[in-house]
Amino acid sequence: MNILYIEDDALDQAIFKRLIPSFPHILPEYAASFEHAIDLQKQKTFDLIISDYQIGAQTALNMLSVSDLPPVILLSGAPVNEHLPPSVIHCYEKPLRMELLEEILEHRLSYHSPSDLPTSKEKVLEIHFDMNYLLQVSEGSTEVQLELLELFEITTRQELDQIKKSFEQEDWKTLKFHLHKIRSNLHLVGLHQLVSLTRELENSCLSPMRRDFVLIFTPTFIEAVQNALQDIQPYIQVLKNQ
Amino acid sequence: MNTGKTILLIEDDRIDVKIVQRVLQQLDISNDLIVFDNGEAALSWLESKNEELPGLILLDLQLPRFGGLELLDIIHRDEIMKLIPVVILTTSNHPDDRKESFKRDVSGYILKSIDYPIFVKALSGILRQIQKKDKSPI
Repeated sequence: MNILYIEDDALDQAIFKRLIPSFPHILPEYAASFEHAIDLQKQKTFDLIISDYQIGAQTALNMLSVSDLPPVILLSGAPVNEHLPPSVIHCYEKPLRMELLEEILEHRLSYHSPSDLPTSKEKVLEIHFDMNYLLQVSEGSTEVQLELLELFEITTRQELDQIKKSFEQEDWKTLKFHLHKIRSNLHLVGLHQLVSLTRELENSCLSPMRRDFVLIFTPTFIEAVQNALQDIQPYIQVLKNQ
Repeated sequence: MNTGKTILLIEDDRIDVKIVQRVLQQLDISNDLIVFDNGEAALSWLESKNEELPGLILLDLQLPRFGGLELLDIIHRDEIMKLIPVVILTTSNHPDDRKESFKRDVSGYILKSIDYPIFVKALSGILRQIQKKDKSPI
């Protein structure tokens, strides 16, 4: 996993360099300015950027205006009150310490793969089922598959209703709960991109800084799940005819 | 033949209940499985059982109203119930959930919604450990 760490403070950079060998799968590059970071970004693809919010007189918002950025984690010495773009996953308070770095990297690495997180509304609406998990659980039994898919339909509709309702009521805590619940349904039928998006929305629900992301992507998420419920019908029909 | 104690599954997700049933079946574990979809009902049941407590509790952390950690707190504080091995089944990979669960002496923490063979292997491994440690008839 390639990470770009942007920090102008020598001490903070030294701390990061001391902690990072505990994560042998992480390959870090370093930049001490946003200009240098943008240059590096042009030369190489990063899976994640971890950046200080304030570098000299500039804030990370200068860098975030650049398009095609990977997900970004911000570290800040003081609370950040500005609205941050959707590429920002989270903003953590400094100082950087082992538990925080573990949380950041575990959070990122818990995705099916970093590329699973859809980057646009159009991508969210692309439905690709991967029935491997369902086939493994059912050991190929048509009867078990049908039983699980029937449960999938019923419980997905129930959770989706709750998601719509809590989103309309701006009840973020309830929204988080039902997003969590619908995630295993989506996993059952291998909707990997939607699983990643659900996790992202779930992690963002209670953060006012991530509200824009939730407001933009939840309606698209709802539409995508509704589409998935329709698109799965031919598969169910084939099973029924067997 | 089923000679073991009851297994208590506290899980509100009906798909996950079905998946756990499949795993137990595949592992040839034929103990009675009692399922509750919320912590309150499970606790009432546990409190009514006295000497016939289950041999194992499989607990989801994200439950409506009464969360898994709250239930774990009550089990952990009870002199009798704390002897029952508890295995957490969750989709949460958050370090805090792991830390808080192990603080309450759980016997295992298994991530659901991962590759199915890994899930089966993890549950099988933990059940074997519990059997060895507690000489439990599961």
